[in-house]
This record gives sequence, structure tokens and C-alpha cells, in this order.
Amino acid sequence: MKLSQEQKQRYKRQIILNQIGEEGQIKILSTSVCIVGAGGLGSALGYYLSAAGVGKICIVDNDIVELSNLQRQIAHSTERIGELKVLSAKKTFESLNPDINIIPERLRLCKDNILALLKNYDLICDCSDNFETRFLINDSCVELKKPLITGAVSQFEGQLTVVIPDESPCYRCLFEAPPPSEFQVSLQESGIIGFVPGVIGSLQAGEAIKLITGTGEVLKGELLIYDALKQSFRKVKIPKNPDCIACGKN
Amino acid sequence: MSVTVLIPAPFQNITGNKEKIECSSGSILNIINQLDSAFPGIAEKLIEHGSIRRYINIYINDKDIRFLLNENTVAKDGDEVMILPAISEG
Repeated sequence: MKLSQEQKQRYKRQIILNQIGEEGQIKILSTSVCIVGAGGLGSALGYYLSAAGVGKICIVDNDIVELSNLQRQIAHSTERIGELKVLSAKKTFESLNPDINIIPERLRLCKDNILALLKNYDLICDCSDNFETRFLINDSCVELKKPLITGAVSQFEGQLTVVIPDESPCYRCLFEAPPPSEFQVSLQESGIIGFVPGVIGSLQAGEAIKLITGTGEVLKGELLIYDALKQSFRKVKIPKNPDCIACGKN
Repeated sequence: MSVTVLIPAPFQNITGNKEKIECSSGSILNIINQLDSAFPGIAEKLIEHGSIRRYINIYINDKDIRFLLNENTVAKDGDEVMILPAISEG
């Protein structure tokens, strides 16, 4: 693959980085990424991956755009209320960068469809909004040996980690199981300030670009915790759990 | 000297919006009991059948207690205990 003159111009400011170069840009253009969730995280992540020129981006979501989404889900807009989020996001990202291919997948992931979908992509990004999907994505990525960048937010807080199967701990090494359903309702009604998914989604994009280009150190084996009220980042180690039901030896 | 316990946002409604609570040194189970005496209801959020709930991690000075002595791990004077629940919104 060779970069066209237009591509050299579009991606000029990152191509001049020693860590990227034309070789890195070709890797970015040749990579396929699956983003699960076209909400707050998926909006920011999708914007930056599209802008960077990730060649093929699949966006998975089953919801439509609602007015209450718009304080944080910046891939959508008022005139798109009622549209499928995956189609709205496709329009936004392709408008930013027509050089890439956005594949909308209108579905809710479940055990019956997840492996067939994720196996087609090089890198998986979890931007989902529920525990059931988070654990399902983790377990599927471990099984398929696909790298996973998982982000989550609530109120003024964000969490981020990277899972490299066979190499790093997985999300179940970090949290063994989802909360009981009665606790999940109260957590989901707890609110979220709009810029927090913007921060974490952008950091997910950074991890993706580093993974794709082999640049820097990715956040594997560590959890990044963002506290927007204190404007602080904290990292804690994630030990590999030998008894993990997803990636443990047994 | 005492142990500083960091309360995560989802549980601060129980602690009257306090994000840091000072407790006496002791095992994590003992510290949770101290918290529950001052702020009834918080233990139920953290403990199930005598063990830490599986969607909550507790760290002493950034070390995950599941890989130490779990709820029997002792926090000493000057230690920082962080309670971290999984979050799921996107």
C-alpha cells in the first residue's frame, strides 16, 4: 500500500511524528477496529479514530438518538433525534473523513452473535453501557485472542484498561462479576457529566493508535482511574488472577 | 495516625457526601464495620456472605487485597484504603 498525495496531506501532522511516519500511517489505514457502543465514549473514540484514518471502523449499537443523549454523545445532533445511532455516527465520521469505511451494525451483542462479529476485526473497543455486554466482550476477546481497549464512565469518574490476551490480565481479573441487577439500576441512574466520556473515549483512541503503530506503552495490566472533580489520574496494577474464569489456567 | 478510607462517588450518599473517612487501623472487615457503625448501610454495599462483593475491589496503598489476605488484610496507621466499584456507563 502507498499513500496518495491527498492522504499525505490529510495525515501530514501525524506522519511527521517520528513514532508514526508513513509506515505507521499505512498501518493505521490498514487496521480494522470494532467499537461497541455509539454513546459518549464511542462518539469521542470514533471521532479520533476516523480523523487518524483507521481504515475500517465497525460501530455496533441498537439504540436510536434521543434528546437526553446529546449532552455527551457528540457524534449525534438534534436533527438526528429518532435516527439509529449507528447511522448517525456513520454520517458524522464519514463527513469528517471520507477516506475511511464505516460499517454500521445495528444489533445488541449477545452470546449468539458476538464471536461471528468480533472475529472480523483487528482491535475491539468496549464503549458499551452495561455490565452484561462488558463481561461478554471481555470473554469473547480472550477466546478470540483479540486486543481489547475497555473504557467506562459514571458521574465524574472514568476507568480505562487494555487487555492483550495471553499476555496481560483481562477485565475479569480486575472485576470478577457484574453487580446484582438491583445495584445496576441505581448505578445507571447516577448521572454522568458530558466531558468525562470525552476524556476516556479520547484516551481509548490514544491506546488504539499506540497498539496499531507499536508506539509507546499501552495500559495493559493497569487500570487508569480518572477523577474529574479532582482533575487527577491514578493507576493501579491489575494482577493476573490464576483462577480467572475467562483467562485463568483452569 | 489513622487509616484513610476513600469512598467512591456511588456510595457517598451514604456517607453524607464525605469522600474520605478516617478509621482506626485493623483488618478490612474491621474497617468496614467501623464505617457501617458511623454510616449504616455501607457494609451491605461492600460485603456479601462475609466476603467483599465481586464487583468491588479494595486497595491498600494501591495494592489489591484479593492478592493479599483479602478482607482479613490489615491496614496500618497511615495507610490509604481505596474502595473501587466497577462502573459500566458508556
